[in-house]
Amino acid sequence: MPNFHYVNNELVQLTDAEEAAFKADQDRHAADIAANGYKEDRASEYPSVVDQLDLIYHSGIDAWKAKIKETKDKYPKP
Amino acid sequence: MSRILVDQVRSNSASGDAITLDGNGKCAINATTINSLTFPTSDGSANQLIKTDGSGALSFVAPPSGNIKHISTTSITSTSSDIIISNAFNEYPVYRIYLLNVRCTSSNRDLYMRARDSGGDMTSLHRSRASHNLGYNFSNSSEFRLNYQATGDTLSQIDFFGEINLTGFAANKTLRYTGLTSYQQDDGDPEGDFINGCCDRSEAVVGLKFYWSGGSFSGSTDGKIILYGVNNA
Repeated sequence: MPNFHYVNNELVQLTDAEEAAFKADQDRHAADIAANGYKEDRASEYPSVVDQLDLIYHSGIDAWKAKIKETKDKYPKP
Repeated sequence: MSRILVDQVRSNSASGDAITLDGNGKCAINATTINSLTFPTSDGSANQLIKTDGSGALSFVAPPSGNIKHISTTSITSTSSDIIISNAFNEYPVYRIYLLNVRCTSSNRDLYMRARDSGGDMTSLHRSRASHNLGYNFSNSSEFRLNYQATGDTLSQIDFFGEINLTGFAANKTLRYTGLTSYQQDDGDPEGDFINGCCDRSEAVVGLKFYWSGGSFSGSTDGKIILYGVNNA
């Protein structure tokens, strides 16, 4: 089934070359997410730096490492 | 059918002709006030506009110096793999893009923008950053990423909004953009990013391309991508 795109507000069918480029982009993004998606997942779930410092102050380094490990285990490296 | 043939029309008490016909179907009206509107008695300068004082007095004035001009609107009413906006980008110092109700055909996707030069898509030299987590740097240089977290995540598709200002389109300049984007995450809470980026290149940018990672634009939301030129003088 052919794909279409808008070029200056006109719906135009992709050429064979554009279809190939579209698929290549989609494949590249899928591969990037598979390889690096865990980084963003981890980054968005780590506690804030302020909360991490507070945790270290009150509970020590081991408690902090345990907290960080929760996120690392939840989103493992592929 | 009646017809009155005259060359001039004047009042009995007036000394000059009120209307003069030139014999070729055209006439000159010797009056500065027509229908209670008083027109200027001499021409203005090139590109000037006529304004009113609200009491019927019209005069020539220079057009506003600062302005935002609509250039194009792409209305997304069908499924589309990407959206290309071509423009010379050489008339205004700043261009502004609005993304309204833009939706992906799949959940958990990211929206990208890519510069295009005379050779088509540029696939390198893009750098972008989002405000999440003290400024998350997207090292991927194939395009600009417009959101930090995937829109919708595990939710059904979510509309995406954004406002992006761009400058530096000319050859051997650094294309730069700053913007704000708004979308939603799987917990239903709104997400938003301050985004910025740059792209060094030798060719002038003559177009922009928008596309989703692993998805297409949905035609179900009447999404729009609107381009404006912004004048600063």
